[in-house]
Amino acid sequence: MEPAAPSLLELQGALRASLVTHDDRGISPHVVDAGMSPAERLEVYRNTFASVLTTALRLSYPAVHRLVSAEFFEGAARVFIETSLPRSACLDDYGDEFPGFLAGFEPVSSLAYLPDVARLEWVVNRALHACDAEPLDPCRLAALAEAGVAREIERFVHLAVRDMPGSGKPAELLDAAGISARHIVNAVRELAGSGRGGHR
Amino acid sequence: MDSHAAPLRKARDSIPAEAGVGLRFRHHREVLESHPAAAWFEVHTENYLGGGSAPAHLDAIRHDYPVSLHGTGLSLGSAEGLDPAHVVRVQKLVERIEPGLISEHLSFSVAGGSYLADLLPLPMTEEALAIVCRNVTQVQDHLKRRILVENPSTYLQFRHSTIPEWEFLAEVARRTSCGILCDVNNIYVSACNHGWRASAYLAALPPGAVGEIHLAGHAVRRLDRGRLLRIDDHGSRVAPDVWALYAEALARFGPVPTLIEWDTDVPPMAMLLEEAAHASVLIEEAKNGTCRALAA
Repeated sequence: MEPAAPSLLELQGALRASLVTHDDRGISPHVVDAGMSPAERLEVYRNTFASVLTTALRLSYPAVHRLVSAEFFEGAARVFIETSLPRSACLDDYGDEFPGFLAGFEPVSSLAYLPDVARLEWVVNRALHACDAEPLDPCRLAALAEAGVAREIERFVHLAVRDMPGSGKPAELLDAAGISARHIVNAVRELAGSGRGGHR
Repeated sequence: MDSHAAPLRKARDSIPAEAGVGLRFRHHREVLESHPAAAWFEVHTENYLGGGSAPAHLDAIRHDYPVSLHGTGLSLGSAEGLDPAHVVRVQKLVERIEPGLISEHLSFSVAGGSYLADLLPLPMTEEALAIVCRNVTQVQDHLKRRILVENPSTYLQFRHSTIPEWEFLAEVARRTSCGILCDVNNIYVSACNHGWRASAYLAALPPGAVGEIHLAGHAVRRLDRGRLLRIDDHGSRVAPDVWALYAEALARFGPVPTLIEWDTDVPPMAMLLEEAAHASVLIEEAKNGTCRALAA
């Protein structure tokens, strides 16, 4: 007997279930089976779905890919894809939850550094695809100098790490490098107390 | 007027009725540095929606070539409707690039708010037709431009479909005034997979609506019991049968901008230009044929 025709919304939900969770029960009865079974036909779409998203993850996480090998990466990606789908058609945005997934993924629990590598790669990925900031127009700087307010611009305190970090506890390293909370508080006090009038 | 003003973009212009090439990231630098003799380029919209180097390269390339934007993410067939945020991102890119053509697919990619990373098949029903037309109209209203809608390659059909795909596509064009992107390789692939007559498909499309043609290679997968399935993987040269069908398409539609697409194992630019040169020969023949027909 012919199954009742589903609405488009129902059909699209059923095809989604077939792709994501490999559950064909909702979609199979509606697929023409001439020459090839619905399962064989659906497998073509499942392959594309999984390989496109795996490739997107590989492009965003090249170091993780190298660290765990191609075969393992693919396996991990397929498990991840089932739990985390793209929310947008722009695949550069896909995979923000991958580091958290790796942190809880038992097969890589012995690689304690792997989630951190992934977090770093995601931040790099975001920076690569971020919109460029408008650079400061040099004419504006020149105008400030002519107006005699150039000294305003000198009002900053440099807080930066100038040496390679050595070994030690985090708090000790921050203090030794001159970027601990104490240094920041002192720097703000210095700026606030230098009091050459407020901003114009 | 300042006669020494910077040269305008060569093309605020439309896409010429010549053979262009699908531009992928690996060729950006080569195009910027050595300016290959391509008539025009088409890019995938969704690869340029963020910031950074990709859209910056496209800006520079757009300065020297007509560019077409080919989307894969609007999901014109989604029952749940368009993603307004995605439409806005596309609109911003359209304003930035001023493309000669904008195209999308007769398929769906979004269900339950998730992007399913493929061009998925629609049932050919009156309900789906109404939904596609509603979505196409919304996109065109938002972009304030006509778009082209491309026929998909498909590997399954739905039992409750009542309209042949060629009639469905022609009806979308009629109801929404959108154009048709006739992918000749997709027609060939789907026709082989479903036992349709490719020539009949072409003959059912309204010639005035076809604004672009796509050509690409496909793979042949051998299943058991000698069965074959053709897969539209854009990973090889255009097949001889598809070139023959392309000649039929040109005879019916006249000279139309034609694109060589290649997405799997993208070859050197020189090979893409070779394929484009082959298409150019057929386009020239079609132009001469049109002249003869007009003179007769």
